[in-house]
Amino acid sequence: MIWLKWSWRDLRARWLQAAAIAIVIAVGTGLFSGLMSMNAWRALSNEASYEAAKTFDLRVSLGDGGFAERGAMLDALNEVAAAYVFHAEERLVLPTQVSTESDSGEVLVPGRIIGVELRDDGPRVNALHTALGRGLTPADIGRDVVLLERNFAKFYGLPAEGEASLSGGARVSYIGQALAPEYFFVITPEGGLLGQANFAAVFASIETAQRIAGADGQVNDLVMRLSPASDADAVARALEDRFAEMGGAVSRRMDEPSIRLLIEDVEGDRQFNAVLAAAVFGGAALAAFNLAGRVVDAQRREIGIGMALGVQTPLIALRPLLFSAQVALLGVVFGVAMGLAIAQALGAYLADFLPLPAWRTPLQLGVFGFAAAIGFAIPFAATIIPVWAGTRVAPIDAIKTGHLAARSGGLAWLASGLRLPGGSLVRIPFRSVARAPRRSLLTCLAVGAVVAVMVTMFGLLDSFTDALQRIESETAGDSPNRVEITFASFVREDSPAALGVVGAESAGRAELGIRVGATLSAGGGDDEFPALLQFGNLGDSGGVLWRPSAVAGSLDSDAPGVAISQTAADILGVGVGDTATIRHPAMTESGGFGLRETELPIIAIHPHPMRMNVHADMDDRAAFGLDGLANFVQAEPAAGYGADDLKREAFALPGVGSVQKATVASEAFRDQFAQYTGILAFIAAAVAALALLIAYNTASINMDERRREHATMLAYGVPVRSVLGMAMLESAVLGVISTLFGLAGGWLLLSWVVNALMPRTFPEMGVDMVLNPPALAIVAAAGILSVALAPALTVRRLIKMDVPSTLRVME
Amino acid sequence: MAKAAIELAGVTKSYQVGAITVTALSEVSVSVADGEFVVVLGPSGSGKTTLLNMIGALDTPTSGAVRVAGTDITGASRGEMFSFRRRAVSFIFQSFNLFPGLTAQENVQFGIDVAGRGARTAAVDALESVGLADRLKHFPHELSGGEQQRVAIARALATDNPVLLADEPTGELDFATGAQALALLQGQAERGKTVLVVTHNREISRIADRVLQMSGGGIVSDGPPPDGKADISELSW
Repeated sequence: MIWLKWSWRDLRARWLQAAAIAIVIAVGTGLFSGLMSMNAWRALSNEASYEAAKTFDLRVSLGDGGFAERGAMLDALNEVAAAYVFHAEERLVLPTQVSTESDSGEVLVPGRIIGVELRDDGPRVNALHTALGRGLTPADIGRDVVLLERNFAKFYGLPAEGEASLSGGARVSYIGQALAPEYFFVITPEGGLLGQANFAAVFASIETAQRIAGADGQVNDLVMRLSPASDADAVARALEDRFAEMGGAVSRRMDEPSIRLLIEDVEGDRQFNAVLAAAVFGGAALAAFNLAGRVVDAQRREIGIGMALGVQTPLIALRPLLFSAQVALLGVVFGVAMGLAIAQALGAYLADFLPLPAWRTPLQLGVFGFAAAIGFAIPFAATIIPVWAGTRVAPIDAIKTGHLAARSGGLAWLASGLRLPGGSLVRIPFRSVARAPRRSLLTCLAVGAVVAVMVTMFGLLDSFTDALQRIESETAGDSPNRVEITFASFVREDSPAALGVVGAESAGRAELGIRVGATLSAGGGDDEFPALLQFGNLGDSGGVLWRPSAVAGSLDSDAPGVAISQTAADILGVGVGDTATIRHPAMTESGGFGLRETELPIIAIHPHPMRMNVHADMDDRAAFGLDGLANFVQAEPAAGYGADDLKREAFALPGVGSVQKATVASEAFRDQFAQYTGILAFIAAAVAALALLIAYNTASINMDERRREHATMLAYGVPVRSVLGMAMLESAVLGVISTLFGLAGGWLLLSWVVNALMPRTFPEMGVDMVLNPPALAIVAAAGILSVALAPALTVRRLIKMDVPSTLRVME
Repeated sequence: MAKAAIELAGVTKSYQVGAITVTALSEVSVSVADGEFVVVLGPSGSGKTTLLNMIGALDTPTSGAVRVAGTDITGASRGEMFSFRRRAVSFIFQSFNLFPGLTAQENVQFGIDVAGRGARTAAVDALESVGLADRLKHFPHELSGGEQQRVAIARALATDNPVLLADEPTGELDFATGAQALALLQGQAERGKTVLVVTHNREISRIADRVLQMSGGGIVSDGPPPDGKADISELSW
């Protein structure tokens, strides 16, 4: 009991440093448990949302233009797999155009109408979660009422209810906004991420969809949930066989890009957060190690006396260990509270950032328990080394006082050769750093770990900003005001529809183009991924309205070829001159469309970060089997007209499927990016607070260490400001070294996140590692200044120092 | 008679410890002339260190007046006391208080830098004067206790301040090295510096010009050593 009391007194004697360490541990524990809770919540919420939405296990889609009589797909399913299916529903899923009014004007985007089963409380597979307005009921069967997909509606700020037009001029009322599992994260049919800006899913009764699409009695999609014990692969194989004759393609839940991306993103974030938390914990552990070292040092004589009196070593070690345990415990208690606060804040933020039907935010006892255990164990374990070293000294050495106890000068000899301007007062800080190399190193590592996290945060912000700017710059080109008018289907380039748009009164320069979903691969490798193949006027740099820029190769090649993104080139391991394989729709001899593969040389690499963007020249359409065709126009407003005028005019032209500003997709990115940076900024702020705390603690320990030297200086008449200046100079030296460590560590961490983690978990976008000078300057200034200025916080102690007593203290 | 380097008139120092008032010095009046070697003798708690602190402007009296090296520091501001310490007094401590990160020469240079007088070579000269010309580049942990104290004395000498205040300067030293340190201090008094040594070691008082015996916060006797001034070689402890 006496040991506990004694250690408690030690704690009170150093309560400020102990509190600072405890808060450092708390921030580490809090950040870890908060971030890991967020990951757990995301995983849980994904699971709960997909479960609440009764998400399909398997899906059968008939090919383009393929239909079946309603009930036929269910019959086929029942023939081969009735016993394994819990519930299945047919749907009619067709492309459409959606136009409606938002506060900022007309919205006309391509989309999809999904006719769902409303009988028997349906849809019971891929259920709709009404986020705003009211849901569809059996009373809506056949009526011209729909639900808008929530993310699309939210992006354009649409009200809960309103009017919309679909393809063919069908007028419908939307009665609410719904979340559906295939659109929790919106990806366009061509593979475009964050597709809420330019893709609208619309849900209606299957009967309504049939009537609007002119496909009475027809369906083309079958979604099912399997019985719990069913073997999904076996059922899928059976379905593939059965539906082959109908042209049905079978896919699993994880084949759905939106679902896969949402789930994999959680895993990527989990790894990233774990590394961040580890770095913060590392900083806390090193800071705790420093303090424990000082405490043991201060107890050196008492340890020696204990040993001389024959007290057993474990008992002697008990006191400093109890001290550390109390500090760690205090940190963990603070940390749990902080973790709860951080998790709540992040959870609320995330729910708004990523709307899901079911947000699950239960207290993550496991996460908190683990964080508490680690938060306690790491700093506690860190104290064992100095305690062990302290009890290894011979009693006689430990008891020595005064000059007899003088310890080695560390690396002061190394610094003695350093020529410095000014007198001895300038030399002292540098020598002090060199004299205690272990402590200096620990300090630098502790602060460096936190600086590394700051570098990573700022680097991520810079890297994402760079990617966003590349997206915006590449998208805008020299014609940021241009409008993209997409036809409802392919048109001949000399058709009235094409000529009508190109010749519109409000259209200035206008160019026909083609944009189709495709896949890209190269060199017979395994990598093949969705691509967006876009034809435009690549080779005419003089009068071209827009074309991608080239970071390698040339777009002005006479021979047919394609330009792919740097991201795609990196993934495929190809460059200019290599051959790309593109699987894409092409016109068949019968006049319909089928898929075919085209192999062409890569003539250029463009810098757009999205790997999917593949560009070809309109003059090379023949090589792709698309000769004479177009499906969109990009046009600048004519003189005297604005983009809105052009949109309005194009909106009313026949054959037009959607009208949007060319930059709308990048605006969606910016919108989403702004929310994501909020989380990064939150973490950066927490880490900056941590840096300040560690810096303060370091300064406080240093001031404690140097108090006799400071007392000597004061006795010799050195003004307090000069003593403080020396302390700050010493801290600044530590700050500079720490920051250099931090910059190096942060660079490595950032490099790992950007170059290893992100390509694995988010390969769709290529993010270059960027750390801009202003960010570097901010981090360097924060690292150096926080440490350098920290001694100023202890100035009161210096002013109030009892110089005579301090000078007489025997150490 | 030589002019007074140190003058205390009716100096009292009281501390408040909880509800109790502790008087460390009570109505102390004393005058020390330039070049005097004075030993302040007394048991623990007699007030000798408080007296030293008053003279060294490390503490302020509750009442009374203190004048050192021609400066009245009785009501001096904090800044004036710092300035006074830089140009008037130099301390020598029991545990030396050298800067462990500085070499012997640099420790001495510190004294010069702080006082703002003396050439760069003065540090070498000061160390030569204490017999440490061959230890210039050594760090404190590489020196013996006696050598460390000699460096501390050299540091104090290098300031060229007129008053040297030594608080138990031989407390951590064996007899031989303690005697060396005393000899150095005595030599400084002979060169005109005023040296005040605080100790509880009665033997040291034998070499003083004057012994101030303190007890209970007051000076109970003031005069030359009772058995006459002895030579250092006659000391033993």
